[in-house]
Amino acid sequence: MTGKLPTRYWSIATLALTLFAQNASAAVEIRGFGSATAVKVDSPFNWPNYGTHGQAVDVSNSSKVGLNFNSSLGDDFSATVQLIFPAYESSVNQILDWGFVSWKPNQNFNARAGRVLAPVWLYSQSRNVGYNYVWAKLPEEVYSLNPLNSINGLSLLSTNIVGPGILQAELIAGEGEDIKSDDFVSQNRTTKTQISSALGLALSYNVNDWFLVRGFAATANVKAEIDTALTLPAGSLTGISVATTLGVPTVLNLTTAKLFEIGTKIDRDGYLFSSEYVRILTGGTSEPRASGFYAMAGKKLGHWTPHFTYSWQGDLQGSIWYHPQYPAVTTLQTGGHSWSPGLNYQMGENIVLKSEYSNSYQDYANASQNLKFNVYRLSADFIF
Amino acid sequence: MKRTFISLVLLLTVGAQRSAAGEILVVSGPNFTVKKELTKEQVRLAFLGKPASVDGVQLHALDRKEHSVKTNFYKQVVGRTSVEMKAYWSEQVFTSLGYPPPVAADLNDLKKQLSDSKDEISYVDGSENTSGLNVLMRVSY
Repeated sequence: MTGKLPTRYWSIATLALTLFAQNASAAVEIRGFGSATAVKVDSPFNWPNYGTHGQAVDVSNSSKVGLNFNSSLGDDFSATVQLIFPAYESSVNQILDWGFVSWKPNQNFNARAGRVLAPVWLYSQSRNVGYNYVWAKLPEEVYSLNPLNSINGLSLLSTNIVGPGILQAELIAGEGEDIKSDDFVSQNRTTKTQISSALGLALSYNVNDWFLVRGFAATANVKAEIDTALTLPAGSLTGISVATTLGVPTVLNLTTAKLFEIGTKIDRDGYLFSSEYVRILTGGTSEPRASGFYAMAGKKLGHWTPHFTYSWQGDLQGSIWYHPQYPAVTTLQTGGHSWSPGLNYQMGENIVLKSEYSNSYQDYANASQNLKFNVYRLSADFIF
Repeated sequence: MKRTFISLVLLLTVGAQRSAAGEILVVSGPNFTVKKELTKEQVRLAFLGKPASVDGVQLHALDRKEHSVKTNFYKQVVGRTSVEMKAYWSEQVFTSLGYPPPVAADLNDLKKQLSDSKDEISYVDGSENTSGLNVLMRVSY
Protein backbone atom coordinates (compact mmCIF):
# COMPACT_ATOMS: atom_id res chain seq x y z
CA MET A 1 0.00 0.00 0.00
CA THR A 2 3.09 2.25 -0.02
CA GLY A 3 2.41 5.54 -1.76
CA LYS A 4 -1.31 4.86 -1.95
CA LEU A 5 -4.14 6.17 0.13
CA PRO A 6 -4.94 3.59 2.81
CA THR A 7 -8.44 2.17 2.96
CA ARG A 8 -9.30 3.84 6.24
CA TYR A 9 -8.82 7.31 4.75
CA TRP A 10 -11.31 6.63 1.99
CA SER A 11 -13.77 5.49 4.65
CA ILE A 12 -13.18 8.45 6.92
CA ALA A 13 -13.42 10.90 4.03
CA THR A 14 -16.77 9.52 2.91
CA LEU A 15 -18.17 9.43 6.43
CA ALA A 16 -16.99 12.99 6.99
CA LEU A 17 -18.71 14.18 3.85
CA THR A 18 -21.93 12.51 4.90
CA LEU A 19 -21.76 14.15 8.30
CA PHE A 20 -20.98 17.45 6.61
CA ALA A 21 -24.13 17.09 4.59
CA GLN A 22 -26.05 16.46 7.79
CA ASN A 23 -24.62 19.57 9.40
CA ALA A 24 -25.48 21.54 6.31
CA SER A 25 -29.11 20.66 7.17
CA ALA A 26 -29.47 18.32 4.22
CA ALA A 27 -31.67 15.33 5.01
CA VAL A 28 -29.95 12.00 5.60
CA GLU A 29 -32.06 9.09 4.44
CA ILE A 30 -31.53 5.88 6.38
CA ARG A 31 -32.55 2.46 5.11
CA GLY A 32 -31.59 -0.99 6.27
CA PHE A 33 -31.59 -4.68 5.63
CA GLY A 34 -30.66 -7.85 7.45
CA SER A 35 -30.54 -11.60 7.51
CA ALA A 36 -31.07 -14.02 10.38
CA THR A 37 -29.69 -17.32 9.15
CA ALA A 38 -29.25 -20.73 10.75
CA VAL A 39 -26.90 -23.19 9.00
CA LYS A 40 -26.09 -26.81 9.66
CA VAL A 41 -23.53 -28.90 7.79
CA ASP A 42 -23.50 -32.65 8.39
CA SER A 43 -19.76 -33.05 8.01
CA PRO A 44 -17.09 -33.48 10.65
CA PHE A 45 -15.01 -30.74 9.02
CA ASN A 46 -15.24 -26.97 9.31
CA TRP A 47 -16.69 -25.18 6.29
CA PRO A 48 -16.43 -21.47 7.01
CA ASN A 49 -17.29 -20.66 3.40
CA TYR A 50 -20.58 -22.46 3.83
CA GLY A 51 -21.31 -20.44 6.95
CA THR A 52 -20.60 -22.91 9.71
CA HIS A 53 -17.95 -24.38 11.93
CA GLY A 54 -18.38 -28.04 12.82
CA GLN A 55 -21.67 -29.87 12.94
CA ALA A 56 -23.55 -27.61 15.34
CA VAL A 57 -26.22 -25.27 14.04
CA ASP A 58 -24.48 -21.96 13.36
CA VAL A 59 -26.39 -18.67 13.42
CA SER A 60 -23.53 -16.20 13.60
CA ASN A 61 -21.61 -16.71 10.36
CA SER A 62 -24.29 -15.58 7.93
CA SER A 63 -26.50 -13.35 10.11
CA LYS A 64 -26.07 -9.62 9.76
CA VAL A 65 -27.71 -6.21 9.75
CA GLY A 66 -26.87 -3.42 7.31
CA LEU A 67 -27.56 0.30 7.33
CA ASN A 68 -27.53 2.58 4.33
CA PHE A 69 -27.09 6.35 4.74
CA ASN A 70 -27.65 8.64 1.80
CA SER A 71 -27.45 12.38 1.78
CA SER A 72 -27.60 15.06 -0.86
CA LEU A 73 -24.60 17.36 -1.11
CA GLY A 74 -26.36 19.85 -3.32
CA ASP A 75 -27.08 19.78 -7.03
CA ASP A 76 -26.04 16.50 -8.63
CA PHE A 77 -23.80 15.44 -5.70
CA SER A 78 -24.58 12.98 -2.93
CA ALA A 79 -22.74 10.94 -0.32
CA THR A 80 -23.62 7.36 0.53
CA VAL A 81 -22.34 4.98 3.17
CA GLN A 82 -23.40 1.40 3.75
CA LEU A 83 -22.36 -0.32 6.96
CA ILE A 84 -22.56 -4.03 7.71
CA PHE A 85 -22.78 -5.40 11.23
CA PRO A 86 -22.19 -9.16 11.05
CA ALA A 87 -23.10 -11.35 13.99
CA TYR A 88 -19.48 -12.51 14.16
CA GLU A 89 -16.64 -10.34 15.34
CA SER A 90 -15.43 -8.02 12.61
CA SER A 91 -13.01 -5.17 12.12
CA VAL A 92 -13.93 -1.60 11.31
CA ASN A 93 -12.61 -2.16 7.81
CA GLN A 94 -15.09 -5.01 7.31
CA ILE A 95 -18.00 -2.99 8.71
CA LEU A 96 -17.76 -0.40 5.94
CA ASP A 97 -19.40 -2.23 3.05
CA TRP A 98 -19.02 0.73 0.77
CA GLY A 99 -19.13 4.50 0.88
CA PHE A 100 -18.59 7.10 -1.78
CA VAL A 101 -19.34 10.53 -3.11
CA SER A 102 -21.45 10.46 -6.23
CA TRP A 103 -21.84 12.94 -9.05
CA LYS A 104 -24.92 12.33 -11.16
CA PRO A 105 -25.51 15.23 -13.54
CA ASN A 106 -28.32 13.33 -15.27
CA GLN A 107 -29.91 9.87 -15.38
CA ASN A 108 -27.41 8.76 -18.03
CA PHE A 109 -24.20 9.19 -16.10
CA ASN A 110 -22.99 8.55 -12.57
CA ALA A 111 -19.43 8.99 -11.33
CA ARG A 112 -18.55 7.66 -7.87
CA ALA A 113 -15.35 8.00 -5.86
CA GLY A 114 -14.60 6.23 -2.60
CA ARG A 115 -15.12 2.59 -1.71
CA VAL A 116 -17.35 1.29 -4.48
CA LEU A 117 -18.87 -2.14 -4.98
CA ALA A 118 -17.22 -4.13 -7.72
CA PRO A 119 -19.79 -5.42 -10.24
CA VAL A 120 -17.88 -8.69 -10.61
CA TRP A 121 -20.57 -11.38 -10.70
CA LEU A 122 -24.31 -10.92 -11.27
CA TYR A 123 -25.15 -10.64 -7.55
CA SER A 124 -21.76 -9.45 -6.22
CA GLN A 125 -23.13 -6.06 -5.33
CA SER A 126 -25.99 -7.67 -3.40
CA ARG A 127 -23.93 -10.27 -1.61
CA ASN A 128 -24.82 -8.91 1.84
CA VAL A 129 -28.48 -8.27 1.03
CA GLY A 130 -30.26 -11.62 1.11
CA TYR A 131 -33.59 -9.95 0.34
CA ASN A 132 -32.27 -9.17 -3.16
CA TYR A 133 -31.83 -12.77 -4.32
CA VAL A 134 -33.67 -16.05 -4.17
CA TRP A 135 -31.10 -18.13 -2.27
CA ALA A 136 -30.41 -18.26 1.45
CA LYS A 137 -26.75 -18.07 0.35
CA LEU A 138 -25.35 -17.23 -3.07
CA PRO A 139 -24.06 -20.32 -4.93
CA GLU A 140 -20.77 -21.08 -3.20
CA GLU A 141 -19.13 -22.68 -6.24
CA VAL A 142 -19.27 -19.36 -8.09
CA TYR A 143 -19.31 -16.67 -5.43
CA SER A 144 -16.38 -18.02 -3.41
CA LEU A 145 -14.25 -17.28 -6.48
CA ASN A 146 -14.89 -13.53 -6.32
CA PRO A 147 -11.73 -11.81 -5.05
CA LEU A 148 -13.01 -8.25 -5.60
CA ASN A 149 -15.93 -7.38 -3.31
CA SER A 150 -15.24 -3.69 -3.29
CA ILE A 151 -12.45 -1.42 -4.37
CA ASN A 152 -11.19 1.93 -3.21
CA GLY A 153 -11.20 4.01 -6.31
CA LEU A 154 -13.53 5.18 -9.02
CA SER A 155 -16.65 3.92 -10.78
CA LEU A 156 -18.07 5.46 -13.94
CA LEU A 157 -21.56 4.25 -14.82
CA SER A 158 -23.27 5.06 -18.09
CA THR A 159 -26.94 4.20 -18.73
CA ASN A 160 -28.53 4.54 -22.17
CA ILE A 161 -31.59 3.36 -24.01
CA VAL A 162 -30.45 1.20 -26.92
CA GLY A 163 -33.07 -0.50 -29.07
CA PRO A 164 -35.74 -2.15 -26.93
CA GLY A 165 -33.64 -2.17 -23.76
CA ILE A 166 -31.30 -0.30 -21.47
CA LEU A 167 -27.55 -0.67 -21.84
CA GLN A 168 -25.42 -0.03 -18.79
CA ALA A 169 -21.64 0.16 -18.87
CA GLU A 170 -19.63 0.48 -15.67
CA LEU A 171 -15.91 1.07 -15.58
CA ILE A 172 -14.13 0.57 -12.25
CA ALA A 173 -10.54 1.33 -11.31
CA GLY A 174 -8.74 1.21 -7.99
CA GLU A 175 -7.35 -1.07 -5.32
CA GLY A 176 -8.69 -3.20 -2.52
CA GLU A 177 -8.00 -5.46 0.38
CA ASP A 178 -9.86 -8.53 1.57
CA ILE A 179 -9.16 -10.38 4.80
CA LYS A 180 -10.64 -13.80 5.42
CA SER A 181 -10.16 -15.93 8.49
CA ASP A 182 -10.94 -19.61 8.51
CA ASP A 183 -9.92 -22.61 10.49
CA PHE A 184 -9.34 -26.17 9.46
CA VAL A 185 -9.10 -29.11 11.83
CA SER A 186 -5.85 -28.03 13.48
CA GLN A 187 -5.10 -24.73 11.76
CA ASN A 188 -6.20 -21.12 11.96
CA ARG A 189 -5.58 -19.27 8.73
CA THR A 190 -5.89 -15.61 7.87
CA THR A 191 -5.73 -14.85 4.18
CA LYS A 192 -5.07 -11.22 3.30
CA THR A 193 -5.54 -10.45 -0.36
CA GLN A 194 -4.28 -7.12 -1.64
CA ILE A 195 -5.53 -6.00 -5.01
CA SER A 196 -3.92 -3.14 -6.87
CA SER A 197 -4.24 -1.60 -10.32
CA ALA A 198 -7.66 -3.17 -10.74
CA LEU A 199 -9.45 -2.19 -13.93
CA GLY A 200 -12.80 -3.72 -14.84
CA LEU A 201 -15.68 -3.21 -17.24
CA ALA A 202 -19.21 -4.52 -16.73
CA LEU A 203 -21.75 -4.39 -19.54
CA SER A 204 -25.40 -5.24 -19.01
CA TYR A 205 -28.45 -5.10 -21.26
CA ASN A 206 -31.91 -5.14 -19.70
CA VAL A 207 -35.01 -5.60 -21.83
CA ASN A 208 -38.37 -4.56 -20.34
CA ASP A 209 -37.16 -5.35 -16.82
CA TRP A 210 -37.56 -9.10 -17.29
CA PHE A 211 -34.52 -10.11 -19.30
CA LEU A 212 -30.96 -9.22 -18.36
CA VAL A 213 -27.73 -10.32 -19.91
CA ARG A 214 -24.40 -9.07 -18.62
CA GLY A 215 -20.70 -9.63 -18.84
CA PHE A 216 -17.69 -8.54 -16.85
CA ALA A 217 -13.99 -8.55 -17.49
CA ALA A 218 -11.24 -7.27 -15.22
CA THR A 219 -7.55 -7.35 -14.70
CA ALA A 220 -5.77 -6.70 -11.39
CA ASN A 221 -2.53 -7.25 -9.58
CA VAL A 222 -3.13 -9.61 -6.69
CA LYS A 223 -0.92 -10.37 -3.75
CA ALA A 224 -2.02 -12.87 -1.11
CA GLU A 225 -0.51 -13.39 2.31
CA ILE A 226 -1.56 -16.45 4.25
CA ASP A 227 -0.75 -16.56 7.95
CA THR A 228 -1.25 -20.05 9.25
CA ALA A 229 -1.24 -20.79 12.95
CA LEU A 230 -0.64 -24.51 13.15
CA THR A 231 -1.44 -26.02 16.53
CA LEU A 232 0.44 -29.23 17.14
CA PRO A 233 -0.67 -31.57 19.89
CA ALA A 234 1.55 -32.13 22.88
CA GLY A 235 4.15 -34.86 22.59
CA SER A 236 3.73 -36.61 19.31
CA LEU A 237 5.52 -34.34 16.83
CA THR A 238 7.16 -31.65 18.90
CA GLY A 239 8.48 -33.66 21.77
CA ILE A 240 7.12 -30.90 24.03
CA SER A 241 4.66 -31.76 26.78
CA VAL A 242 2.22 -28.92 25.94
CA ALA A 243 0.38 -28.09 22.72
CA THR A 244 2.49 -25.83 20.50
CA THR A 245 1.31 -23.21 18.04
CA LEU A 246 3.56 -22.41 15.12
CA GLY A 247 3.10 -19.35 12.93
CA VAL A 248 3.69 -20.14 9.26
CA PRO A 249 3.49 -17.06 7.04
CA THR A 250 3.29 -17.59 3.30
CA VAL A 251 3.38 -14.83 0.72
CA LEU A 252 1.92 -15.67 -2.63
CA ASN A 253 2.58 -13.06 -5.23
CA LEU A 254 0.01 -13.95 -7.83
CA THR A 255 0.96 -11.14 -10.19
CA THR A 256 -1.79 -10.38 -12.67
CA ALA A 257 -5.26 -11.85 -12.32
CA LYS A 258 -7.88 -11.85 -15.05
CA LEU A 259 -11.58 -12.34 -14.33
CA PHE A 260 -14.35 -13.03 -16.80
CA GLU A 261 -18.06 -13.49 -16.26
CA ILE A 262 -21.15 -13.89 -18.36
CA GLY A 263 -24.59 -14.17 -16.85
CA THR A 264 -28.28 -13.86 -17.51
CA LYS A 265 -31.37 -13.31 -15.42
CA ILE A 266 -35.02 -13.75 -16.39
CA ASP A 267 -38.04 -12.81 -14.26
CA ARG A 268 -41.23 -13.01 -16.26
CA ASP A 269 -44.79 -14.03 -15.43
CA GLY A 270 -43.57 -15.55 -12.19
CA TYR A 271 -40.91 -17.70 -13.87
CA LEU A 272 -37.38 -17.14 -12.58
CA PHE A 273 -34.14 -18.15 -14.21
CA SER A 274 -30.59 -17.14 -13.47
CA SER A 275 -27.28 -18.50 -14.69
CA GLU A 276 -23.62 -17.48 -14.67
CA TYR A 277 -20.31 -18.76 -15.88
CA VAL A 278 -17.16 -17.30 -14.35
CA ARG A 279 -13.47 -17.85 -14.94
CA ILE A 280 -10.33 -16.66 -13.19
CA LEU A 281 -6.83 -16.76 -14.64
CA THR A 282 -3.78 -15.69 -12.69
CA GLY A 283 -0.09 -15.53 -13.45
CA GLY A 284 1.21 -17.31 -10.37
CA THR A 285 1.17 -20.89 -9.22
CA SER A 286 -1.21 -20.66 -6.28
CA GLU A 287 -4.46 -20.16 -8.16
CA PRO A 288 -3.65 -20.18 -11.88
CA ARG A 289 -7.15 -21.18 -12.95
CA ALA A 290 -10.65 -21.70 -11.62
CA SER A 291 -14.08 -21.84 -13.23
CA GLY A 292 -17.58 -21.77 -11.83
CA PHE A 293 -21.10 -22.14 -13.14
CA TYR A 294 -24.64 -22.31 -11.84
CA ALA A 295 -28.17 -22.39 -13.21
CA MET A 296 -31.24 -21.65 -11.10
CA ALA A 297 -34.90 -22.03 -12.08
CA GLY A 298 -37.87 -21.10 -9.94
CA LYS A 299 -41.55 -20.17 -10.05
CA LYS A 300 -43.46 -17.65 -7.97
CA LEU A 301 -46.71 -19.21 -6.78
CA GLY A 302 -48.46 -16.49 -4.81
CA HIS A 303 -46.41 -15.98 -1.65
CA TRP A 304 -44.37 -19.12 -2.31
CA THR A 305 -41.31 -19.52 -4.53
CA PRO A 306 -39.88 -23.00 -5.02
CA HIS A 307 -36.52 -23.02 -6.79
CA PHE A 308 -33.75 -25.39 -7.78
CA THR A 309 -30.06 -24.69 -8.41
CA TYR A 310 -27.28 -26.75 -9.91
CA SER A 311 -23.86 -25.32 -9.21
CA TRP A 312 -20.42 -26.40 -10.37
CA GLN A 313 -16.81 -25.48 -9.73
CA GLY A 314 -13.97 -26.98 -11.73
CA ASP A 315 -10.75 -26.57 -13.60
CA LEU A 316 -9.13 -25.79 -10.25
CA GLN A 317 -5.39 -25.54 -10.57
CA GLY A 318 -2.87 -24.32 -8.04
CA SER A 319 -1.77 -24.91 -4.51
CA ILE A 320 -4.47 -23.14 -2.48
CA TRP A 321 -7.27 -25.71 -2.80
CA TYR A 322 -6.65 -27.60 0.42
CA HIS A 323 -8.44 -30.66 1.71
CA PRO A 324 -9.94 -29.81 5.14
CA GLN A 325 -8.44 -32.95 6.69
CA TYR A 326 -5.28 -33.45 4.62
CA PRO A 327 -3.94 -30.03 3.59
CA ALA A 328 -1.20 -31.44 1.41
CA VAL A 329 -0.25 -31.18 -2.24
CA THR A 330 -1.42 -34.71 -2.99
CA THR A 331 -4.96 -33.96 -1.89
CA LEU A 332 -5.62 -30.62 -3.58
CA GLN A 333 -9.19 -30.02 -4.70
CA THR A 334 -9.88 -30.31 -8.42
CA GLY A 335 -13.56 -29.45 -8.52
CA GLY A 336 -16.96 -29.86 -6.98
CA HIS A 337 -20.66 -29.48 -7.53
CA SER A 338 -23.92 -29.22 -5.65
CA TRP A 339 -27.63 -29.32 -6.26
CA SER A 340 -29.90 -27.28 -4.06
CA PRO A 341 -33.68 -27.17 -3.85
CA GLY A 342 -35.21 -24.31 -1.86
CA LEU A 343 -38.56 -22.89 -0.87
CA ASN A 344 -39.20 -19.22 -0.06
CA TYR A 345 -42.20 -17.52 1.51
CA GLN A 346 -42.81 -13.80 1.00
CA MET A 347 -44.14 -12.57 4.34
CA GLY A 348 -45.51 -9.10 3.61
CA GLU A 349 -43.52 -6.64 1.54
CA ASN A 350 -40.40 -6.55 3.69
CA ILE A 351 -39.58 -10.10 4.77
CA VAL A 352 -38.75 -13.29 2.90
CA LEU A 353 -38.44 -16.59 4.75
CA LYS A 354 -36.16 -19.10 3.04
CA SER A 355 -35.39 -22.75 3.47
CA GLU A 356 -32.68 -24.46 1.45
CA TYR A 357 -30.95 -27.78 1.24
CA SER A 358 -27.66 -28.36 -0.61
CA ASN A 359 -26.14 -31.68 -1.51
CA SER A 360 -22.46 -30.85 -2.05
CA TYR A 361 -19.62 -32.86 -3.54
CA GLN A 362 -15.93 -31.97 -3.55
CA ASP A 363 -13.43 -33.78 -5.75
CA TYR A 364 -9.73 -34.08 -4.90
CA ALA A 365 -6.62 -35.21 -6.74
CA ASN A 366 -6.68 -38.26 -4.53
CA ALA A 367 -10.15 -39.55 -5.38
CA SER A 368 -10.35 -41.74 -2.29
CA GLN A 369 -10.53 -38.54 -0.25
CA ASN A 370 -13.46 -36.99 -2.13
CA LEU A 371 -16.08 -35.48 0.17
CA LYS A 372 -19.83 -35.37 0.15
CA PHE A 373 -21.89 -33.40 2.66
CA ASN A 374 -25.29 -31.82 3.16
CA VAL A 375 -25.98 -28.19 4.06
CA TYR A 376 -29.29 -27.07 5.60
CA ARG A 377 -30.20 -23.39 5.80
CA LEU A 378 -33.11 -21.43 7.25
CA SER A 379 -33.11 -17.70 6.75
CA ALA A 380 -35.25 -14.62 7.30
CA ASP A 381 -34.14 -11.81 4.99
CA PHE A 382 -35.67 -8.41 5.54
CA ILE A 383 -35.46 -4.74 4.59
CA PHE A 384 -36.57 -1.68 6.50
CA MET B 1 -81.67 -16.69 -29.51
CA LYS B 2 -83.23 -14.29 -27.03
CA ARG B 3 -81.22 -15.87 -24.22
CA THR B 4 -77.99 -15.53 -26.23
CA PHE B 5 -78.75 -11.90 -26.95
CA ILE B 6 -79.38 -11.14 -23.26
CA SER B 7 -76.15 -12.93 -22.30
CA LEU B 8 -74.22 -10.87 -24.84
CA VAL B 9 -75.70 -7.61 -23.58
CA LEU B 10 -74.85 -8.61 -20.00
CA LEU B 11 -71.30 -9.51 -20.97
CA LEU B 12 -70.79 -6.22 -22.80
CA THR B 13 -72.27 -4.27 -19.89
CA VAL B 14 -69.95 -5.97 -17.38
CA GLY B 15 -67.02 -5.45 -19.74
CA ALA B 16 -67.85 -1.79 -20.19
CA GLN B 17 -68.20 -1.34 -16.42
CA ARG B 18 -64.80 -2.94 -15.91
CA SER B 19 -63.10 -0.80 -18.53
CA ALA B 20 -64.55 2.32 -16.96
CA ALA B 21 -63.71 1.25 -13.41
CA GLY B 22 -61.06 3.88 -13.01
CA GLU B 23 -58.65 6.26 -14.63
CA ILE B 24 -55.16 7.40 -13.75
CA LEU B 25 -53.87 10.73 -14.97
CA VAL B 26 -50.17 11.43 -15.36
CA VAL B 27 -49.73 15.12 -14.60
CA SER B 28 -47.24 17.97 -14.48
CA GLY B 29 -47.24 21.53 -13.21
CA PRO B 30 -47.94 24.60 -15.36
CA ASN B 31 -44.22 25.28 -15.93
CA PHE B 32 -43.50 21.82 -17.35
CA THR B 33 -41.41 22.34 -20.46
CA VAL B 34 -42.71 19.53 -22.67
CA LYS B 35 -45.91 20.39 -24.49
CA LYS B 36 -47.04 17.01 -25.73
CA GLU B 37 -48.50 13.77 -24.45
CA LEU B 38 -46.14 11.27 -22.87
CA THR B 39 -46.02 7.58 -23.66
CA LYS B 40 -46.48 4.85 -21.08
CA GLU B 41 -42.87 3.75 -21.60
CA GLN B 42 -41.48 7.22 -20.88
CA VAL B 43 -43.51 7.41 -17.66
CA ARG B 44 -42.54 3.87 -16.65
CA LEU B 45 -38.83 4.60 -17.10
CA ALA B 46 -39.06 7.85 -15.14
CA PHE B 47 -40.65 6.07 -12.16
CA LEU B 48 -37.97 3.37 -12.24
CA GLY B 49 -35.25 6.03 -12.11
CA LYS B 50 -34.10 5.19 -15.63
CA PRO B 51 -33.24 7.71 -18.34
CA ALA B 52 -36.47 9.07 -19.78
CA SER B 53 -36.32 12.17 -21.90
CA VAL B 54 -38.77 13.94 -24.17
CA ASP B 55 -37.60 16.65 -26.55
CA GLY B 56 -34.31 16.79 -24.69
CA VAL B 57 -35.97 17.21 -21.29
CA GLN B 58 -35.06 14.57 -18.71
CA LEU B 59 -38.20 13.50 -16.87
CA HIS B 60 -38.11 13.23 -13.07
CA ALA B 61 -40.72 11.38 -11.07
CA LEU B 62 -42.60 12.64 -8.02
CA ASP B 63 -44.21 9.74 -6.20
CA ARG B 64 -47.13 9.61 -3.79
CA LYS B 65 -47.55 8.26 -0.29
CA GLU B 66 -49.38 4.98 0.22
CA HIS B 67 -52.69 5.47 -1.47
CA SER B 68 -54.91 3.33 -3.65
CA VAL B 69 -53.95 5.42 -6.68
CA LYS B 70 -50.33 4.46 -6.10
CA THR B 71 -51.12 0.75 -6.23
CA ASN B 72 -53.17 1.23 -9.40
CA PHE B 73 -50.56 3.46 -11.04
CA TYR B 74 -47.73 0.98 -10.51
CA LYS B 75 -49.86 -1.93 -11.64
CA GLN B 76 -51.24 -0.21 -14.76
CA VAL B 77 -48.34 1.98 -15.87
CA VAL B 78 -45.13 0.53 -14.42
CA GLY B 79 -46.40 -3.06 -14.55
CA ARG B 80 -45.29 -4.01 -11.03
CA THR B 81 -46.93 -4.84 -7.73
CA SER B 82 -45.96 -3.08 -4.50
CA VAL B 83 -43.90 -6.14 -3.43
CA GLU B 84 -42.06 -6.08 -6.76
CA MET B 85 -41.36 -2.35 -6.37
CA LYS B 86 -39.98 -2.95 -2.87
CA ALA B 87 -37.66 -5.59 -4.31
CA TYR B 88 -36.67 -3.30 -7.20
CA TRP B 89 -35.71 -0.37 -4.98
CA SER B 90 -34.01 -2.66 -2.49
CA GLU B 91 -31.78 -3.89 -5.29
CA GLN B 92 -31.11 -0.36 -6.51
CA VAL B 93 -30.49 1.25 -3.11
CA PHE B 94 -28.40 -1.46 -1.46
CA THR B 95 -26.24 -1.93 -4.55
CA SER B 96 -25.67 1.82 -4.83
CA LEU B 97 -27.38 2.12 -8.21
CA GLY B 98 -30.18 4.53 -7.35
CA TYR B 99 -32.78 5.85 -4.95
CA PRO B 100 -36.57 6.00 -5.21
CA PRO B 101 -38.16 9.28 -6.31
CA PRO B 102 -39.22 11.91 -3.76
CA VAL B 103 -42.71 11.54 -2.34
CA ALA B 104 -45.52 14.09 -2.10
CA ALA B 105 -47.39 13.89 1.19
CA ASP B 106 -50.82 14.61 -0.35
CA LEU B 107 -52.49 16.20 -3.35
CA ASN B 108 -51.83 19.75 -2.13
CA ASP B 109 -48.16 18.97 -1.60
CA LEU B 110 -48.02 17.34 -5.03
CA LYS B 111 -49.45 20.47 -6.67
CA LYS B 112 -47.06 22.66 -4.70
CA GLN B 113 -44.01 20.63 -5.69
CA LEU B 114 -45.04 20.46 -9.34
CA SER B 115 -45.95 24.14 -9.57
CA ASP B 116 -42.36 25.34 -10.01
CA SER B 117 -40.92 22.28 -11.69
CA LYS B 118 -40.00 22.18 -15.36
CA ASP B 119 -39.29 18.45 -15.56
CA GLU B 120 -41.21 16.62 -12.80
CA ILE B 121 -44.22 14.41 -13.43
CA SER B 122 -46.59 12.67 -11.04
CA TYR B 123 -49.99 10.98 -11.13
CA VAL B 124 -53.48 11.41 -9.71
CA ASP B 125 -56.65 9.42 -9.68
CA GLY B 126 -59.23 10.42 -12.30
CA SER B 127 -61.60 11.44 -9.50
CA GLU B 128 -59.13 13.85 -7.88
CA ASN B 129 -59.15 17.60 -8.44
CA THR B 130 -56.64 18.42 -11.18
CA SER B 131 -56.95 22.20 -11.16
CA GLY B 132 -53.56 23.80 -11.79
CA LEU B 133 -52.16 20.60 -13.33
CA ASN B 134 -51.46 19.59 -16.94
CA VAL B 135 -52.67 16.14 -17.92
CA LEU B 136 -49.95 14.40 -19.94
CA MET B 137 -51.43 10.92 -20.22
CA ARG B 138 -54.61 9.04 -19.32
CA VAL B 139 -54.74 5.36 -18.44
CA SER B 140 -58.11 3.65 -18.02
CA TYR B 141 -58.40 0.37 -16.22
